[in-house]
Amino acid sequence: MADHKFLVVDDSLTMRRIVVNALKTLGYEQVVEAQDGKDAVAKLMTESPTFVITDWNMPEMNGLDLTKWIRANGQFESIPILMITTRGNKDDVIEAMKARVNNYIVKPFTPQGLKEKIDQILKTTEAKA
Amino acid sequence: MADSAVNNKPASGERVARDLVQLIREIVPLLENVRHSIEESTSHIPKASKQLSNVTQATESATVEILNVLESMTNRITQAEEKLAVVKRSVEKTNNAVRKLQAAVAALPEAQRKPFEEAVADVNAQLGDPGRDEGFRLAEEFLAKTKEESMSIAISLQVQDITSQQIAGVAHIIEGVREQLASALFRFENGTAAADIEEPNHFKDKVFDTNAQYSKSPERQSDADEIVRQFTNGKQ
Repeated sequence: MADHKFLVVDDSLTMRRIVVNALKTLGYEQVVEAQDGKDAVAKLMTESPTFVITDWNMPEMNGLDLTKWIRANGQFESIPILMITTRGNKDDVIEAMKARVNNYIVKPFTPQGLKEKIDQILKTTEAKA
Repeated sequence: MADSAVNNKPASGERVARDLVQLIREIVPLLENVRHSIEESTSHIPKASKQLSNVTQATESATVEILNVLESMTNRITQAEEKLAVVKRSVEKTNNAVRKLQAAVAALPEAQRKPFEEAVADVNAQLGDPGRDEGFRLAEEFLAKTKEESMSIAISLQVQDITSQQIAGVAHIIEGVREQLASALFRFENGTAAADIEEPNHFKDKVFDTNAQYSKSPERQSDADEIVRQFTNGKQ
């Protein structure tokens, strides 16, 4: 648990704070933040996170484009990505899954929901590794 | 009859022309009123947009302040939990030491044991005090519950992000109306008002979801989970 370093990407300061707090409550102390996809790309290079939690709607580079960028980049392509967004339409979820996010949470999230998704993702990705 | 009809034609045409002139006379001030209304409405919209932007900024600042307080509360609760655990361990160690002491006293010959009997009885009463363990249990429960509730408050503050997206959506619609009004005004004024069309858009950089909603209903998440399951063949 303590080995994972999370990158939380959201243009809303409020949401970043809430997600970071929730992660810390779950025992994940290593967390870095980015305010949009472009900033996240820079943090991926410098901070070497092992798990990305991203919003969808953001300026500069949105969460979907960030996901596509990560999956197209050999260095980072296997990083687990959890999308947390207000976009709850089925078409949106399908588009995100096609872009290869590992799981999807519709805001508002609950700490229990966040824990379940992180556990599911880690279980699957660690089994593959 | 036919002559009369022919004679009436110019008179009727003249009346129509007169009516038309009258109509135009009445329409011109009406149009002027419309132009004035459009001008006034257009000039108010940037103010409304600015006020919405202020609301978003103010609620974000207030939310961050609340989150700061909650974080500070949670940290203090965590510290209190740690201290309580230290006290519990210390009490447990003391109990063990006392039990060893009691065993040692019990092993003494009766004559030597006599002076310790009252103290041993007091210690036994303390060790068996149900109020102490209950006190620890209640304190732990209280701290855990308070921590959980402060987390619930923090989680509920997601409403700020969601409402700010809704406000940005409204501002976007208002901006669209302003552009249309400004364009109408531009036509009214023969293009002379072109420079006035540009106004600061306070939500220019805000990316939002027009369907954002603060709903705790599990349906949207269940639908999303079902799609995720289909994509991952139930592996997640």
